[in-house]
Amino acid sequence: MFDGLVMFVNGVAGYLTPTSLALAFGSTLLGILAGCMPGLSATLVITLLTTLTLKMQPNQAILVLVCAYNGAIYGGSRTAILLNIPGTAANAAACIDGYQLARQGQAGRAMGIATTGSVVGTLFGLVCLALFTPLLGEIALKFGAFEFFWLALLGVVLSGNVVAADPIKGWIAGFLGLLVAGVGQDGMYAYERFAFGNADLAGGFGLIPVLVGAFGFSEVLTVMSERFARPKIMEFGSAIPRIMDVLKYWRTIIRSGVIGVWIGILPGVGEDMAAWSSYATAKRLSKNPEEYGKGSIEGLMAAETGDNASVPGGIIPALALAIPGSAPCAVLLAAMIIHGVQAGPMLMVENPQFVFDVVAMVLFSTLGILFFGLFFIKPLLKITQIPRSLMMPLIFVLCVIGSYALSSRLFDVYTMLGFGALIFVMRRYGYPAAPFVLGIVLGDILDKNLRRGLVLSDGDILPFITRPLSALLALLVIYTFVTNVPSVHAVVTRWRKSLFAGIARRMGRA
Amino acid sequence: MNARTLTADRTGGLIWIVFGAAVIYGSWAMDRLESLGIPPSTAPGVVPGLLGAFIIVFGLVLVLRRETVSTPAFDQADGGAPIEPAPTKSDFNAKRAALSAFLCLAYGGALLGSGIPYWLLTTAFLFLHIVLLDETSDVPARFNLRRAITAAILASAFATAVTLVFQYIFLVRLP
Repeated sequence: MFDGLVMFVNGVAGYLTPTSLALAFGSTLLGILAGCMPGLSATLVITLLTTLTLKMQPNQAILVLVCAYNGAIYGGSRTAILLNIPGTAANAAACIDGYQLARQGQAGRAMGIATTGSVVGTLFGLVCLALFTPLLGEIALKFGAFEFFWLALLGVVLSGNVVAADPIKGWIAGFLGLLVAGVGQDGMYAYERFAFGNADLAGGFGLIPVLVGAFGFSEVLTVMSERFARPKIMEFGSAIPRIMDVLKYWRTIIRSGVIGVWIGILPGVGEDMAAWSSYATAKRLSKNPEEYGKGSIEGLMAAETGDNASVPGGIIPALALAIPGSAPCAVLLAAMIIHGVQAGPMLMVENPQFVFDVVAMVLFSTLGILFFGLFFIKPLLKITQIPRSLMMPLIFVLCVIGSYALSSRLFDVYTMLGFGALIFVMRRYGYPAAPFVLGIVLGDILDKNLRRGLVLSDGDILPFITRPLSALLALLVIYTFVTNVPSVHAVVTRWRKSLFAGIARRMGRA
Repeated sequence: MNARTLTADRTGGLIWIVFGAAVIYGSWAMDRLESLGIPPSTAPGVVPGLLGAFIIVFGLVLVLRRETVSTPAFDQADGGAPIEPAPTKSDFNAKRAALSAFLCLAYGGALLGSGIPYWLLTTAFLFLHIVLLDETSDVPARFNLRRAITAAILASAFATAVTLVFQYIFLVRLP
């Protein structure tokens, strides 16, 4: 515990240089600006920044990515409140009450609530990141190949289940990602799979070009295929939060923080689910549920606390298990690999300082959010006035050069274009990009650990379901599949509703 | 339930079944490395083959089910699953998408690396993309001198900046 505190102080002190501070606050601002722009997702921002920070020192590159990630998730609340358009998917829940508050002439107050919720949520998540990453890392040291196989599968299955409107399509996208990750030399015998004699394919698809395609090029095409008009921003007053708004809803804040971190930790689920779950739980347990949807301060606070708490929450499994909690975390994990940081159970043994460096990075980004969120509101909103028809081709040029710059080969550009076009078409038919990306990141872990497990057990599959932790993870995977059978789903939903009603009754009595 | 979506799902399901079958065939045809004495259960084709089988099962569900599944936004507020935002049918402008895709693929997929200087090609791409696709729904957009001048300045400035940054700061040999 004391060691952790010392490492945290060292981490903070290590970044108290003019360059690091400029990078931290600059990238937080960049993230907020990108989050404000509908069409620029947090994942896209981090992916592009990964290609632009390749030549930087690892710690500074990761600092830029973490700060931009946190900033982007917060930035999206601005457009959610003022324009009823979520800047990122994570801010969709904030639209419901944030926009209603803005229509009632309380846009400044709503933005103050969003800033407070985001800052408190991130701080709560930050404490959990510092406390639980070492704990999870210690538990993960006991994991074997069997458990890692199930964890990787659970990540893809959960992501496909919650991100897509249709779980079957989410799973197809996820399994396609797992398959794509297997192209090229396999990790055990260096056998070339699906290479068809092509030397480039034998090396496999680069992670970053695929990610840039999936979240960059496909996003450019999606935005360019839509009709759009320059949004009109409504007038608003001061965004300094009221102390009473914070004190009155302290229970909601803590509860949403817990939900946000927990959902962040779940592999492959993400910030949007954290926001919706926090919002839905706050509504169920609220004394005034009828205010929800009509401009509820509590609802907005819950959504924004939940989504930002899930940012550090998602980093916990990425660091401790090398299993990302969300799509942006998948990119962050890929960036760590590129910069030579080996995330996973051994991280706490070999490089524990790095975990607390990341905690310090999240702290700096939170300070940036507080500063820019309270005092730079009007200049920040100018970004929404930039026509997207000007912005998108510039982003595409960065996608192309960013993919190429990794190893100076045109194959990476073609990879980016191919997967970008594929994901664009798939998204048009309801197949989400996030499980696909999770699949690509987790493909190698799943492949190696399934086969390692089979080597260890001499081809016997029983240890995959008889070891206690393996059995638990296997049950979770099966539960996720089975609850999507309509009749089972109906029973589970009824059971869940009665459980929540019971909790609400008890809280009402208390 | 939307009949058109159901048809699209079924067509998609058939494509996934064919794709999954091709993956299984490719996995089956892979060398099992028996000469190296490795256990058959760890052969390189095992994992892709299993994934192909799952994709076939999911494809079959898409083909055989009687209705599409979707989670409307109002369900989310009551605790339903969130969905990744996908463009709605009414927002979609196929001509805009096709022209943008054509320009992007021509730039990145065909002309890049063909001998045209990077800065020149990038300037031309940006200029054309900005001039041909504006905020209106006209495809291509009507010519507007002011927009063309803005496009020329923005395109040349951005292309020059990217060229200089990547060539001299990141030390990348540009295509």
